[in-house]
Amino acid sequence: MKNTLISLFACLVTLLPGPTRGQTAASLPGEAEILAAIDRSASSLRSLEGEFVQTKELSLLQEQLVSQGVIYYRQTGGQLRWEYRTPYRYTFVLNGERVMMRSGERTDVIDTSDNRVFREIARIMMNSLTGRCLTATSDFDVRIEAGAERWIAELTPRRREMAQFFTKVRLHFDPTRQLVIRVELIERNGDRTTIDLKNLKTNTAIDEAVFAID
Amino acid sequence: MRRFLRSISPMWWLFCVPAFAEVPAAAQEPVVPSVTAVREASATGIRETFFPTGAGERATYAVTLDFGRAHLTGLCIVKRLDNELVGTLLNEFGIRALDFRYDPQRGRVRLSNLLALLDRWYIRKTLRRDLSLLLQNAELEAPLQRRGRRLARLDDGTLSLTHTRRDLELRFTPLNE
Repeated sequence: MKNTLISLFACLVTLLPGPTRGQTAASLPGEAEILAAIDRSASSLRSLEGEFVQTKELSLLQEQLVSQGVIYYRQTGGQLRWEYRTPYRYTFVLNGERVMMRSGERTDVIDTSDNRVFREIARIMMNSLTGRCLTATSDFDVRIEAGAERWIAELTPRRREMAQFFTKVRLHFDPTRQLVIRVELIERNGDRTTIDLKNLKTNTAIDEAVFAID
Repeated sequence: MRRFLRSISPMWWLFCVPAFAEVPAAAQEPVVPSVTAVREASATGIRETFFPTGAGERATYAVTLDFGRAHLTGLCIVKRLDNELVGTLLNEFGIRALDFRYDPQRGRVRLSNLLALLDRWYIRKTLRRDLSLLLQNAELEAPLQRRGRRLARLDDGTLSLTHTRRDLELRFTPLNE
């Protein structure tokens, strides 16, 4: 169960690099080709930084909750920072074997070597960042929709525990930029969480302090 | 009680995904004195009424739950619809725990769309009573004690509900959207 949840979270933060070349409508690649391209290009992603806008649809309230923040990833050392800045502040930092969660004025630090759950979180998050979320099929059925301007990987949870949260997870790739630009999480009742990624920069130098765990 | 905590623990694990962990006390930073919180609350501006009163009005709250050594966080969005208060409880990543409707005339809370692991009678009962007490008495001027629970407004505008016989505290803090 916990592994399933960890996989779910991993998909929330998946920033898979896209294929290594642009496509035209006349020469759309097949599913296997896309998956292979993702697998190959994942290894070339040394770092990534950018902003995100998360929009949560709440059908019961006929409202949306929009939150924004920044994300940083560095392959070396297995480092990730996922930070919400508005309308609330919440920071999740993964740095090697340590995880830091900061909410408001409180900071919690976990050593994943002492905590099996967080060790799994770290493992699966990093697997996702390197592209294995699509190729590891134990948790999801994966279907690829290849378009000229966007590739979409649709992940359907295989396990009931995960399906209670989401019926589908859709990762939108911009083939030209070779990055995921949108993550959609679709719930049983049709509500959806959309995470739009923008101003993404790859393979730049990121200050070590970004991943510092106090 | 133990059964309740055993049940609520995985629930909040789900609710908060990685935001939840039983954190050793040594790994936690000391909480900043409440003076800071009061200043911040003053700067953001606290609503005149804690929960929305006007038709279609909406408010968002930071929610924390502390039980034992565990510290859990999330959000609650509440909206006034058809003379009811309708709300959703979810975590920062957008994973919903439950929806609720509160009828002020009857003082009753109805829950819906609960995560499967939350959908147990004793959890529903506790949640209904907690939410009912919170929603019914948010404008209190002095701490209120009822059914083994203590409800109070803190200096920073937070509404705090403490289970007096359990090591459990639920807090709602208004967010400035």
